[in-house]
Amino acid sequence: MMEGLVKVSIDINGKKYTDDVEPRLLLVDFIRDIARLKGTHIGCDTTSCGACTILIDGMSVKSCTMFAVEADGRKIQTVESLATDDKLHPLQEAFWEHHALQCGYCTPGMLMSSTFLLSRNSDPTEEEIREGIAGNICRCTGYINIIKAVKDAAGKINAGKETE
Amino acid sequence: MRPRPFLLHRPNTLKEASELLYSHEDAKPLAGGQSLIPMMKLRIYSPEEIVMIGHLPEMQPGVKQEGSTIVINSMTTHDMVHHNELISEYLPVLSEAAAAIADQQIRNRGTIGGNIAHGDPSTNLSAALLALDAKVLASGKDGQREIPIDEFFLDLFTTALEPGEIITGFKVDIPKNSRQKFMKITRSDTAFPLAFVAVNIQLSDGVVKDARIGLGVAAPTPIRATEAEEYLKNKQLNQETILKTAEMATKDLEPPGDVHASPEYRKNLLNVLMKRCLNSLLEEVKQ
Ligand SMILES: Cc1cc2nc3c(=O)[nH]c(=O)nc-3n(C[C@H](O)[C@H](O)[C@H](O)COP(=O)(O)OP(=O)(O)OC[C@H]3O[C@@H](n4cnc5c(N)ncnc54)[C@H](O)[C@@H]3O)c2cc1C
Ligand code: FES
Ligand code: FES
Repeated sequence: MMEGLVKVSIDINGKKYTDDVEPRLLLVDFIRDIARLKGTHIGCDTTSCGACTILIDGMSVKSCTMFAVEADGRKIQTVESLATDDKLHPLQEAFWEHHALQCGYCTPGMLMSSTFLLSRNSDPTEEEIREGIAGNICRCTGYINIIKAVKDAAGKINAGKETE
Repeated sequence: MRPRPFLLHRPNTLKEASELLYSHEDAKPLAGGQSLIPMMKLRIYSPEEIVMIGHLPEMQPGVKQEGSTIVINSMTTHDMVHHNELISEYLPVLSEAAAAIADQQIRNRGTIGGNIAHGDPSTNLSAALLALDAKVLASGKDGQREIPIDEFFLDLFTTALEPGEIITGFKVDIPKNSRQKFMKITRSDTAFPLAFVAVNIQLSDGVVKDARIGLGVAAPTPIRATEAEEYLKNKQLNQETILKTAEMATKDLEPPGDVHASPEYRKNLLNVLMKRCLNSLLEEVKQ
């Protein structure tokens, strides 16, 4: 039995963060307040909007609906992992080019859901993109430009692979 | 939103987990957390103790075939159930039901065991497992037992699990000459469905030899449409029998009502879904 605080150690974007936390601490709060990575957003806090989406061992999940203790010893990727040095990830570039964000609140979650989608399906159809981001709500864009951006990024990533 | 504080247990064996749950009345197992955590955050439900089970060797996700039976481990996620080849081939209604749960993130985390243990009439997999005549595998402090799915759902959020019992998996005999279909009506993907139907019929030369129908959000528990199933037996599947089956499946229902759907409206949705399911199976047979 563990009373009080529990030691949790999580690899976030390749860096290990360790702390003693309350069992009820949500993973999103570990990411934002302990690792101090503020890219992962809290929108609804009720498992509905997807703004808090991250990847855990490569699978997309809503980090407002996991306890930090459940991620102990596991690998997490947040939106901060996408860009390298000064170079944006092709998805981020495509979001920029296609005006796939306005206020940007949903964007980290959209990017992580899209990252998961492309990791499974490198050339998704519009229908598959819609299905892939069904768990992410955007109140600004109307989704059309997000879908265009994901499609475009997929094309660019694939073209990049061919020339390699 | 933060849940109330709770004590955390991380037992080393399944037996230890069962004993903990048995001796601590207000302890709950945590599987994918996709029903439990939202309820705890809203403080609709605040267990004093949480027992983690996902790390236990016996609880690892997986699907296998044993002779003519498919065995699905409890911690298999909705996403795995959706994409598993054995399930897609032999139990398509279960695969379709899993694919229709909420969104990708929730399907990556939620488990089949949690979905059934929750005992909620709006869980997709309960209707599918009712249609497939599944057995629930439960492990308690005194050993293992198999519970027929027909005897599993007792009341809203109340199941046949005894104190300390943990679902370890499910067994489903592969149905022969079977046609299966799951359909739902929902406001949006992430919202809980307003109604859904799972159908499994055995056909021979266009005649229904056996039928099992699971209905979702039709009563306080997941239920079967037994009268309609009886009616369908030895009938040709055609427009007339489809209409009659849908009527028999829904006429005596008293579904729950909420802000999104009154009981009457929900009854109507179930009727429509019943017809759509059988019509789509009829189309399949014709091809
Ligand atoms: C926004 C949203 C939308 C959703 N929409 C749908 C939907 O459309 N259709 C649908 O079917 N579901 C839906 N769900 C629920 C989802 O499918 C859950 O994953 C599932 O109901 C519970 O599974 P879990 O593994 O997450 O269980 P948990 O949340 O961990 O547990 C649920 C309950 O079961 C108990 N439990 C868990 N595992 C076991 C076990 N092995 N033995 C004994 N008891 C156990 C827990 O103590 C708890 O009481 C939705 C959830 C959310 C948040
Ligand atoms: S904040 Fe997690 S789903 Fe909205
Ligand atoms: S850009 Fe504002 S919510 Fe999506």
